[in-house]
Amino acid sequence: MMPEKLFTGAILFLSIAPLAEALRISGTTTEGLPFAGSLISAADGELLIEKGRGATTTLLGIPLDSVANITMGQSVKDPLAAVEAFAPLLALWDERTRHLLVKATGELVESGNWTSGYHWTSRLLQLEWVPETEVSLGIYQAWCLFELGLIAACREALLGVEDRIDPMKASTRYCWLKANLAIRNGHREEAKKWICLPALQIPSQQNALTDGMACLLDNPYFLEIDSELP
Amino acid sequence: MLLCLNTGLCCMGILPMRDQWKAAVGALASGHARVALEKFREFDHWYGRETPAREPVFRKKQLRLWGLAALQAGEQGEGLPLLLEWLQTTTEETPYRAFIRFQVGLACQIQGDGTSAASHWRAFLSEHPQLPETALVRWMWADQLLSEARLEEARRQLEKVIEEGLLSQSGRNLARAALALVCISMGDGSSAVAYLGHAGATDGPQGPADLWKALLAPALVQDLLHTEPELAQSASGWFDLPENLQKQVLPFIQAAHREAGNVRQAVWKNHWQAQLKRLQSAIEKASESGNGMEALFRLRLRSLLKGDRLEEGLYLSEFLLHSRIPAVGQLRADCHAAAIEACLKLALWDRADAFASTFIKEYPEDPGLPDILFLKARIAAERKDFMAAVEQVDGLLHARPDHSSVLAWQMTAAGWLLDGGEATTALDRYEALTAKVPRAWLPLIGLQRSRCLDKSGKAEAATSLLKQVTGDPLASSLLKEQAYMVWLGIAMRRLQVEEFQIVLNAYRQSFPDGFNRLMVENLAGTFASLTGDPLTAETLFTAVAGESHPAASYAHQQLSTLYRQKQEYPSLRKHARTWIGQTQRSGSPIPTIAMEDCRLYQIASGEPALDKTLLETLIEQMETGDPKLPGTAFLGLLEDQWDSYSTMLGQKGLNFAGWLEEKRNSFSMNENWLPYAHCLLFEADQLESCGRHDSADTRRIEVLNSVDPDMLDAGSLHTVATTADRYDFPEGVPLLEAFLKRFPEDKLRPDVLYRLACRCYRRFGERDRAKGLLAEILTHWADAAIHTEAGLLVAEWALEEGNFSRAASTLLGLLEKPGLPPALAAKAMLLRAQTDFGLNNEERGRLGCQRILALYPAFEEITATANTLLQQHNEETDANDA
Repeated sequence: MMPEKLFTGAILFLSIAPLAEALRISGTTTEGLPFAGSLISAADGELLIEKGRGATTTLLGIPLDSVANITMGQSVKDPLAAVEAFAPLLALWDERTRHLLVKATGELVESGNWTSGYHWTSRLLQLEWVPETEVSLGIYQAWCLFELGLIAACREALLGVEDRIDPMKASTRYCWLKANLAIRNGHREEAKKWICLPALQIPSQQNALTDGMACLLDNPYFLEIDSELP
Repeated sequence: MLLCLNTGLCCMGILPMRDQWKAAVGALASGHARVALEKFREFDHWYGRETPAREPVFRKKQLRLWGLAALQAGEQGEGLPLLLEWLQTTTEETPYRAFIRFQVGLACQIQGDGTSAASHWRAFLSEHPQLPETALVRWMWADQLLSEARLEEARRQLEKVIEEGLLSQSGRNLARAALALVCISMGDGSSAVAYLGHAGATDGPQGPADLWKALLAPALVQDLLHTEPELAQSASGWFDLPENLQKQVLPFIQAAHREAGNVRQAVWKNHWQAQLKRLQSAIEKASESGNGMEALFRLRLRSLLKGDRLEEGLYLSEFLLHSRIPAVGQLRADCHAAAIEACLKLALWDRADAFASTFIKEYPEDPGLPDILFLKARIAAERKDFMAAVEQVDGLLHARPDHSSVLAWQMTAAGWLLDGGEATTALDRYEALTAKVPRAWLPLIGLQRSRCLDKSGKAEAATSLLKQVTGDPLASSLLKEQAYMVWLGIAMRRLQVEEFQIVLNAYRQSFPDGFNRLMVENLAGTFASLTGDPLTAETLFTAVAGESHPAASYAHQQLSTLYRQKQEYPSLRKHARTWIGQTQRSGSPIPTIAMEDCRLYQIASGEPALDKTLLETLIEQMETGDPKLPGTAFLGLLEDQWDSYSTMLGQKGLNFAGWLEEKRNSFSMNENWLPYAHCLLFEADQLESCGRHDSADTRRIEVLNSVDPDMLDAGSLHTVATTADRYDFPEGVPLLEAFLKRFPEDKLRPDVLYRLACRCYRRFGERDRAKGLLAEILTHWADAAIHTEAGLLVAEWALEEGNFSRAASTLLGLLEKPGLPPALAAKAMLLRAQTDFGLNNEERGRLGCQRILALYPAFEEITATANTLLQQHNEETDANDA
């Protein structure tokens, strides 16, 4: 019996090991009372945190309605993985944490994780942001959709942010997306316009992406579209 | 006690000799230069005459350290003699020599003693050429020379800093920026752009050199905009806002303030700090000058338009108009104006018109409105609708009689009238302007008046005016040259051999290297050809054809005509080969005429005109889809001597039709559309000659759908455009307009102008525009086959509008033309008779009708009209008599 028990214990230990590095948080309630500790769960309308260590450990449950804001601890390597399990808390994170999440989402998309990128941009876009952040998230989301081949959805995602983008301050990625969408619509002139835009801005944008954009017009889509002409 | 009270003396009193020396050296080493200086002074005062202190080796050490302490304490007057003595007494190479020389040079420079500083810098460079500090010395020397306004020498020193390569990449980049500043001071903007262009951020993140680039770019663009627009355009790519630059310079300044590890590093650090300080102060000045975003965008727009980057100019205007930047102010009007100008140059008339109309509708109170209204008139003029353009300018003049551009607008409107064939009205306007414009404008008005007089049939008066213009001291050389050309044109048209020669000699004497010299030589050649002197014509045209100038193309065409007329086929072939070779070397399109000449030679001699090498080159051009090859003409050439050419190509046995089909299929498979189009057009020509018009047109329409028309040569584009026009396809007008835009000199141009005029009138009812198009044929293409038809149409419309004088002057020119076909002559006479009746010249009208009835009974419709006209006027006369 003993060996079997030991084996089960090992499995249990392994499965809870990730939780051993619990997410340290601090925050205040709506009544202004501070709280801090390791986040255990955020389910059933209650925030469960663990205070203290070893024998002095106490569990504290705070109704989510009573939480004004929460801050993530300083040394979180992967903020997205850390908050993944606590989805209901998303709106309660403070400004700094939320920007950490935006930054991490950006890095996720830049590294080519289109599905996760779309998932996180969609979640974050449900929150309220200053216009610049919202635009940036919208572009990231459209980029993910584009790379996933969901062109119509990508176009729709861009439509949501377009009116807030000043073309003379538009990011190169936005120009790249617009050029690609124009290519897929067969609008060569429109595509050229967006390809030229980064160089026309002040200061002119020149980077690996703009260099790559110059080749967009050689895209086979054009040939396909041209060959369909009567 | 007294000693203790002296300033700078240690309160503990004078130390023993060894300790005093140690204290002085210690203070200098720890950076307390002022304390060290006092210690050295005390040492010299108390122990200077002691034997150990007078020992030569120690004395040199004392001179060096005391001198350095004095310099560091800012006492150049005390330190310099000590260090100079050290330099004189220390002849051997020591590790300190370079450092002391450097410090002495620097001290002289700080004291403002440029001559001494220069002598020390020179000595440093000759004594220590291997040291990297030579770059520093040259740079500091350049700074000294700049302060003395010796720019050329400063430039040479900085150039050597870069050439010698002793600095790191970033250091060299900063030196390039410094050199660019010197170039700007010397008024040499293009060199400044070149130096800054090399000081790019290619090797890493943005450095101080890039900040200089951004800072200097606006001034450089303004400087080079008119003289070297391409360079201006490239400089405009460096723009950035001064506030951004201010943020970007801070990290560099902070980095430069880090502690230096040793004396040598300190020297370098001081230099970079000085350079960065200069950069920072320049950025601060730029911030104060308020060179904001709007101003930078305005400059960028202008540079794009001037640099012929029209599409980008148009895009930028459109984006700016969608941006929040030009919400108000001048940029909004500038964006519209730039977009209109770009569209005008790109022949996008409708878009230009849309921009103008939007602005006029949405911003009726904008101060930029008059300029946009004038641009709207220009759109009409560019579309050859001169009357509408003039009408709009007249409206503008009426609404804004006090605008600063009123005279310029009036001049332009008069020019449009002249271009639109209304020479008399234009003349009246120019004459009215004579009293209003500044004296400097009078030569230009004189030239324009002479053109009007010439067009109104008053050649004598025109000539006398041209004489005045060419002798006017206020007329520019270019204007005088143009006057000579008009004058030569008049003499040529009137076949005045003596007059032509006199004017030609006068031009050659006045402008041996004139801007229009080759065009004048072409005129001389044409005149020689007209007056039956083909040898002189050949000599003149051959000389011009050898030049790499646009005029050479005309000379080649004339040589081709000469050889064809003389039926000198070997010369025709030789010339065609030379012409083809010349265009291949210069990278310009191969002329269709040269290919046709080769074919003529083949027909006449029965031998192939091309050798194996040229044939292979042309085949390669065709297979790679080179748009410079007139493919259809080339295929015609191949077909004609296919037996010989197939042997050369190693395809013996394969007939031409089979080869062509194989090629066409291969081009189609590889989506090589241009040569595919050439094959189709060639086949269309063959089918046409067999009377299979529909099949021919099917192929032409296929070309229309498969190839970008911008890639087609003149002949192919003409074929495709005229096919689209005949079938009333929507592409018809854009294709005809594209032809006019791309081939302003082509011999097919008059035909396209005529077609477009007819289409504009019949399809869109744009008679004014059609008249403008026809006016170009009448003015510039007198020898074109379509000239007579165009003239008749103009006269007919003038008659319909009751403008009898215009009709009369046009018909006069037509009826004088030799070899007029009977049908056209009959129609011209009928129109002339109608004009005569309109002008109450009853007798001549009747006479005209009777001549038609007598001479051209075969043209029933015309004779019937003439008869009716005659009867009608006879009845009227009878009624009046009664």
